[in-house]
Amino acid sequence: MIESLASYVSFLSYRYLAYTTTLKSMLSQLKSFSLLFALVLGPAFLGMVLLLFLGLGKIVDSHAEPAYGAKIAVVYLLLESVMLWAMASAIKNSQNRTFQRSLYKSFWRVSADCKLLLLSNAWLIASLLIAIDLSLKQWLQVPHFMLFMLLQWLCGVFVLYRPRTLFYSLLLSSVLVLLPVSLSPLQYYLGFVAIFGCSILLPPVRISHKLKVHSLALFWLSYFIQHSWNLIWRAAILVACLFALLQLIAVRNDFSDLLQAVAFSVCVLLTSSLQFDCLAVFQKYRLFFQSNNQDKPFYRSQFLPSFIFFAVALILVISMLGTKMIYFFIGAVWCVLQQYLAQKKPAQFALVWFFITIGIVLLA
Amino acid sequence: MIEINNLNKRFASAHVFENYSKLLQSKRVCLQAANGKGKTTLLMMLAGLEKPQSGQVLYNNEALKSPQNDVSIASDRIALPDFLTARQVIELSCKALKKDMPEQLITGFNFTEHLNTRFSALSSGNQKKCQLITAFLKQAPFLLLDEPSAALDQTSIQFLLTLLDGYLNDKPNGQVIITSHEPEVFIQHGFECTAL
Repeated sequence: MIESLASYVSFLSYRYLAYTTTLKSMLSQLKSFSLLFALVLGPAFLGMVLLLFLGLGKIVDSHAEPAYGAKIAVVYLLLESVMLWAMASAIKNSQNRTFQRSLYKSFWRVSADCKLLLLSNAWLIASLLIAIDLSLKQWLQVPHFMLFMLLQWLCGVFVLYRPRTLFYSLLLSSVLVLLPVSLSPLQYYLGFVAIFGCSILLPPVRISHKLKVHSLALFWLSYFIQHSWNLIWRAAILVACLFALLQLIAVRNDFSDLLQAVAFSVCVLLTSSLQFDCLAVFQKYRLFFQSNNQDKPFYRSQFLPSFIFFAVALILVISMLGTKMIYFFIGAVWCVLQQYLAQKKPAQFALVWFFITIGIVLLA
Repeated sequence: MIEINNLNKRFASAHVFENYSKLLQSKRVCLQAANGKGKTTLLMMLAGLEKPQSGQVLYNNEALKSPQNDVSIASDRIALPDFLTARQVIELSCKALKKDMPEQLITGFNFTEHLNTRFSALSSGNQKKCQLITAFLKQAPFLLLDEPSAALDQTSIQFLLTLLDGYLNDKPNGQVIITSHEPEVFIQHGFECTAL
């Protein structure tokens, strides 16, 4: 018994070491973006933490506007999933999963996964802090918050073990909040739990294997179907930002121009940073296309995903915020400039984006 | 005939080729050298996929601006899109080279049942078959194969040899250059071994 406990403790130590090592390695890969993080996230960090709790407050107290609270909840779950997705390999120690299987009991693996998942889930920890602060009377008034925490936990579990189910769950939950129906907060969250449960039963859809890859456009489409993470996290952040800006405009309409400029700036950042991923793909497969006499078309095609993403993001920005045409043209030229920098001078990418953002915000 | 004159190639501070000159005259050549001596690098340069720091390569006494138009190559150094299925990789090559699906090559290499497998999930032998299929598909005058028999099963090696036997029949100015650490089987099929 004691021996088994000692083995379990040593297994946990190994997993924790693997977790911290992978996280350090991931952070070192982000060194080239360190300036961007320092410039953008540094000053906004406290604001973001406050925003996190403010949003949770809206979810807890959503009796006046249940649909609004439910929308915030879905955005929260989406962002939480994106963050956990980025950390999934560190949490699971995916690289050495077979090694773990060969030595340790499956229960130990799952137990270690759950512990590290909880440790990594800042969103759930924030909810737990609020939950602890609630009295029994308050709990009885907001039973849906318990379901929300369950959903937060399920998001993490799905990220680790059933990513496809998570995709279905979030997609169907988004549909539910967009439906023009009037539901109570509890009904919304029961609906989400039902959706999360039923999504487990949905079969996988393999589109990419059935595609006939006859062109470079279809090559990129196949790539992004299989590496959808690159688009999903950008889309999630864009939607969350637009949602937040929309709320700010509703409160302070006099800042509308400034907030539109911020929206465009985020849009350009997310779009042009996609070029880093496309450049990596281009460099990896360049020789294959060159050997097929397709080097120039392939070079040109690497800009296609960013332009399509930019077009879709623009439509989203315009449809949600409405906007001046001048931003459209500035945004397009700016996006091309950022793409050029991502391609040729990545070290200057963040700095240029930051100063242009400041310039546009001051002009607005 | 391929003539290499004063070729210089280095990676960082390591000189792989220093004023290297070589005349590859035989129609079927098997290059031999120890690991890390630059066989693959040389093939990549001959195919126009890697640039030397200096030097010249003549193809039938002619310097080609875009050698990749006249050279077909199969090498592990060329990463095929591993997120696509083997069928999609071959289709993509067919479209680029304006060729039909090479059913004979696929059947000959017993590759049909692996067509719908993602390239990254193929065994090393099947990945090699996929490389060879896309290389033979091009039907370029110069064919360069880097370790073509490595990881292949015996049936596939026999089919490869049949293909190599007939490859130059309709290419009077063509040439086949391979690298191999097990050249005996290729020597039996008319390949002339030469040190790098």
